[in-house]
Amino acid sequence: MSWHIDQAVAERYADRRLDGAHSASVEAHLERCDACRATVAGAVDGRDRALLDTIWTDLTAALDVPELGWIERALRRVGVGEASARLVAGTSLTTRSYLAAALMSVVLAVLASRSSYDDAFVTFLALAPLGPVLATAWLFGLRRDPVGELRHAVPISALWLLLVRTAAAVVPAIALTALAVPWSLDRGWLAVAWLLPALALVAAALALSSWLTVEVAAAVAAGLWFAGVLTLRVRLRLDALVGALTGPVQLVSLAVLVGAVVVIVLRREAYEYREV
Amino acid sequence: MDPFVSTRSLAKSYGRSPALAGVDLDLGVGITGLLGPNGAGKTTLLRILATSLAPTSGEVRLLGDDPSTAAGRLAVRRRLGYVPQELGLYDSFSAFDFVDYVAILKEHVDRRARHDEVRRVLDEVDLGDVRSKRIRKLSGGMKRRVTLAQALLGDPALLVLDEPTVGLDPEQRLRFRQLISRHADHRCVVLSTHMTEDVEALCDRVVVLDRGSVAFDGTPPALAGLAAGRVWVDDRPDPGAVVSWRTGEGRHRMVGDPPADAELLAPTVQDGYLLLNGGVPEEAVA
Repeated sequence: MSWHIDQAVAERYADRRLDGAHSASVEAHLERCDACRATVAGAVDGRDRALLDTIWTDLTAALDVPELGWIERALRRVGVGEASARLVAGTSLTTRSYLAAALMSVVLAVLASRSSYDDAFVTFLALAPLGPVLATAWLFGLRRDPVGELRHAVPISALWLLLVRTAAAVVPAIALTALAVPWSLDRGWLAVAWLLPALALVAAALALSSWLTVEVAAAVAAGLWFAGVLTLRVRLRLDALVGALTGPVQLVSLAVLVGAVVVIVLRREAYEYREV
Repeated sequence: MDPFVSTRSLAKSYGRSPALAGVDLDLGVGITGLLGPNGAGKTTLLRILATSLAPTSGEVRLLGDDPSTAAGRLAVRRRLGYVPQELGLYDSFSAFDFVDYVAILKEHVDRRARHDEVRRVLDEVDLGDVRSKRIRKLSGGMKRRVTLAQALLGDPALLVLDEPTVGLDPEQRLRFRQLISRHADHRCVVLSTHMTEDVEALCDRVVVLDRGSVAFDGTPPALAGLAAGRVWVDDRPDPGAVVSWRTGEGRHRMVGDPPADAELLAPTVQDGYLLLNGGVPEEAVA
């Protein structure tokens, strides 16, 4: 054999850049020549290996993309950044706090349909603020936040993380509690008179959590609200109670909300350390 | 070279109960083991080193920074890897998902770079092939390696591990020790353990805590050396021994003041620790 395939021809053959006649000549030669088969194999391997490596890297990257839950998909759809959405959806147990709030809304709706109208409305105003703060307590219960201690040893602000995850519990809880509002629409703005106390309770829980664990702080806030409402119920007639819940209690709630925000800002360093 | 970890008169109290009382330490590159019974202050000390707990008094410097300031704490946390005593895992996540989640907490924002880093650390702990598997389907040893993987994100200079081998069987413990050993070359590793075998196998240095104070600070051979000439074996237990236990051969190994004609044995780290501790601590006896 006097003619052999050189490296340049082998590479052009591997790249499919040889014309038909030349390719046929190469292939006929390859049937008889081991050395040239090795030359062509080297040229093909080199190119295909690089291509295969690229395909494998891209495939691995695509397969490793975490599967997004419905919460994360919804957040991404409304423009929340990937990192923030991952944090909010960090635990599938987050959804159970929504179910608790939904259950409360259903209970309130049943009460509204079965009681005298004023009793139902008072009960609704008294209990509705508890939904968001109890959802927060549930979310942060020690056994439900597996990475709990780690959040105090990572660069991301523990306070910011606390606020993001609280919002993740509170916003849906408020939205679900609002399902019971249609039964009180004839009351006008009073139908949402539970909203400011709800926000105040959550803010108070977050402020207290600079001293206590979040779930204990939320329980304290919820307990104080419940005790206060019960005291008013014992001392006041029904119409006076409605007036109190929609009047002075609103002002107190606003003061608690503002005060809690001030406490959170002043004690922001305390959130960077774990509770005892 | 400045130590990676430096504490002076470090103290921590929970209300009126002191957990740490005046701890002075300087730790550099290598693996330091913290030994001590329950309540000795090991977890408290590690939490302070991990910046998740503030001391009551005293000074701490980590990687040259002061963690009592916000800027210093942030600088430390960016170069810190921590495995707490109770680091739960989201069972519904895959190993990749979980480590990716922690990577976000550690400010790895760019997705492509973050995923490359997650794959790197999972490969480092030999979990590359099972990274897509749900955590609930992983063995206990694999779950432990997931916790170590998240601590390795960002190639931290300081690794703080709180009882990393607890609950592992002997083979898993051996494998975990090999992993830790592999990653100690250029970083300061501080780990707490009840197992003196972990200290013997892994550590360049051992610190024994007792009721919040440092009872011993030296090398494992030096700790074993405390029991030199004070370990013996006999067919019957000696009531005068500080501690004794029955061996697999049916004889009794004892630590304390041996009789004149005693059959002496070479001391181990466990012997030195038991003698220092004045008896049998909760889990130290194998």
